Amino acid sequence: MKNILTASKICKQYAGTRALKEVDFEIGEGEILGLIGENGAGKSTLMRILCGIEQPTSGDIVMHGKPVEFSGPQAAQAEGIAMIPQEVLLVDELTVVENIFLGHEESGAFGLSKRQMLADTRAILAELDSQQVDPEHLTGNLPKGSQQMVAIARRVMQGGDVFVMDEPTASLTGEETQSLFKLLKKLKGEGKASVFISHRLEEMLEICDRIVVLRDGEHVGNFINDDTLTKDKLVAAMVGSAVANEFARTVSHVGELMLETDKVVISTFQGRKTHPISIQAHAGEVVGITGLAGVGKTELAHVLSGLRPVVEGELRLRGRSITLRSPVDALKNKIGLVSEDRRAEGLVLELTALANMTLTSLKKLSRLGRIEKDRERQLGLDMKDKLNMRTEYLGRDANHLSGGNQQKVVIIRQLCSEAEVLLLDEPTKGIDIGAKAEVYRLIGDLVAEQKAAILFSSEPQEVLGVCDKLYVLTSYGFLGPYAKGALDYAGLMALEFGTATSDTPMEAAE
Amino acid sequence: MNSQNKAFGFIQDHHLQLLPVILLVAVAMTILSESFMTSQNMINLANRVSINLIIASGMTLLITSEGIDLSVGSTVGLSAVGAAIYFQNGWDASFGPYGAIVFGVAVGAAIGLVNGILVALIGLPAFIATLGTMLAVRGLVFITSSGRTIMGFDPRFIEVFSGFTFGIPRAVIVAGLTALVAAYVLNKTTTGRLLQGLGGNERCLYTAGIRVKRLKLGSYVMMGMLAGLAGLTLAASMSAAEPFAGSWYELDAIAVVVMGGTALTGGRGTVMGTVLGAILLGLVANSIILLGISAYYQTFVVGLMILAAIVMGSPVLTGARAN
Repeated sequence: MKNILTASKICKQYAGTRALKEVDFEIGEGEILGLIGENGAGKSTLMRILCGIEQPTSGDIVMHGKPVEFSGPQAAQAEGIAMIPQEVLLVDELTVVENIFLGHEESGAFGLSKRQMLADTRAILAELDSQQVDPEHLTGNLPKGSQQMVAIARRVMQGGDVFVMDEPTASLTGEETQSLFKLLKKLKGEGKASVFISHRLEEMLEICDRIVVLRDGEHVGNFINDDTLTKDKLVAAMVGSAVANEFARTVSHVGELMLETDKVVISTFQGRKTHPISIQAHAGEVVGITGLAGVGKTELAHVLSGLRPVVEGELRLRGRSITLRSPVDALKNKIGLVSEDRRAEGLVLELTALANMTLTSLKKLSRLGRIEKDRERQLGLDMKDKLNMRTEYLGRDANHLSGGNQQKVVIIRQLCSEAEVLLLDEPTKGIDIGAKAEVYRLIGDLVAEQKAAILFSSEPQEVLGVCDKLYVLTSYGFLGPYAKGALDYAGLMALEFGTATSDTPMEAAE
Repeated sequence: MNSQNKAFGFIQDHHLQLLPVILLVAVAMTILSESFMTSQNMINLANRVSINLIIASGMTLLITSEGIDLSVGSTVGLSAVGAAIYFQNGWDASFGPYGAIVFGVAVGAAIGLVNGILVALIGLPAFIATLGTMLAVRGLVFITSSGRTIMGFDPRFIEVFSGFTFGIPRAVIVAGLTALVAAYVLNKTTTGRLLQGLGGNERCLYTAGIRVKRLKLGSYVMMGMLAGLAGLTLAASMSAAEPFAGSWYELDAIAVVVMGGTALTGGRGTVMGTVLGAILLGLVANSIILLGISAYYQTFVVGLMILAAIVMGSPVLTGARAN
């Protein structure tokens, strides 16, 4: 088998951290290659380099026998690399056929040849078993899965030698996934190669000829997919040796039951319903909710903060049934959300750090509607001491704070408004290691004051190290609680990827 | 920091950037035109600036919260005609001459409520919704006035808005108080803080549990009431309500808000800037008339002033607002 693409000794250095270390990687003609690894292992970085979105710090790429340097995505595209990104990029207001041919319209002697484009669209959709998609329908009105199929059809239509797909099946149904696999096999028959990233190992074992495993930016495994390859072997390669528990914290006193979900079913952003979720969060406890991308962690955080409705089941606060119609109800019940996306949701960037901190506690800081600025400032100074934040930052616009300080400001807002249940959605995403440690310390201080904290995180080390109790959301069921120490890294991975030998969760120590 | 920088910082902190321009124009006009520094001209100027400022003060709060109201000019007209009809129908016999003030402001509040429902509750874009009410309300002005100018205001009513207190025209006092209250609300109260937040990041306020819809609805009602007040001031200063009263006032108000330095993208606003903007706009319009330049140039010059203000405040030039 001839190699279409060979990458050797690829390194990628970001300020301070090394995302890829001398990774060797090759793709053969007609090969379907799987790429797996934990979050942050370097899969996406490697794919972005192959697609020209990012440039390697060092290393060589050879394509069709000649060395290439991709200065940008267009350069990679010109060499025959076709990327299908994780997020569907289509124009909602255009029809399916207009989207598929956007920028590559076919024209005849008298302008656009609409009939030809329509026929071609029907043909490609038929290959994807998506005949039910009307080519003249507006794309925005299609279900998520169909949109993904249209995005794939668009890319395939434009042609290429190597198709790079980042989690293409995340929003697809089982049937749609099978249709995609059929297409991949057809491309394979034409000698074209595909690189496929997915968290679903069973899909990998079903479709891939070969699976490459990355861990901490290094190439740690290369498995030919024959009958002897199992999910366990892949998980073992991803996990490696046990990871030290960096964020250890003394267990605090566990108090009364605060927030409880009783067989709550929610719908994910992709429109799937989850398995019934039953969690219990006590005062003085850090509860972790973890799972792979797309299982519904953020959606659960939104349900608990009134942003999304409960589909089935009941929410209870201190044993009393509650309905959260909007975040206003959540605030009334002293439930506070620290959003995953600080800049888009967590902060008003034009306001100062101090104004952001006190946004939800203005009522108690004001008299007859007038904000008592001395009291506001005093509250800010008290809070800043908990945080290791410099005093001058209080008056600075939130826009000009570092990511770590921004995150602290958002958490502090919940402290100011005396939230008793804190929902923290990926609170350490994109902040440096020092700020992370401070966020963990802050969470520790919170529960020491008999508040309940629920941490939604996809970082295994984080939930294993910080949480007193852990629940795992998976596509095959809702698991937990697992008491602290009941799971190690490998055990958690086995649960997330569905390779655990024993499916019976250990009961949390009461 | 040297004293020059200090002065510059003070001007920036207090949004006084337009002050030197105003002084320059005033000094130039005193030299160029004998009729500029006369009491009659100053009263005319003050009236014009005041009516604009009453509307622009409210518009500053609205634009800071990333809202906008194009219907204020029509509301001015309906409030003026409403007050005229109040006297025409003899309602003052039952409710007294000052009842017309309550009536005019209530008309404004009602239109504001309609805008608020369209924007805050139904979720229409403010620009489109208030464009619709602008036309509809102007239509109501024509219908209620039958297209005629109505006179016959009670002198006591006129006196409230066009008399003098300590030698200061009442319109100036009304506008000054309005601007003071607006500045107080924006800078000192929870409402003002939340309006800034709303303009900066509505999604953040919503997820944090702030009653965003109520806040928005309230801001449009406030705007309608101020437009109603401006309509009464206008009617009193002319002793008449004409069907085209208030035409283009929405654009004058938005123009001075932008010239003053309030960001059209929301999040930051300055009432002081708006006050200076209103004075400058009035001054320039007045100068053009006094200098005998064709009134056609007035629109042209105002357009250029707005463009200059936007260009000077744009992120490209100031380098601010990364991302």
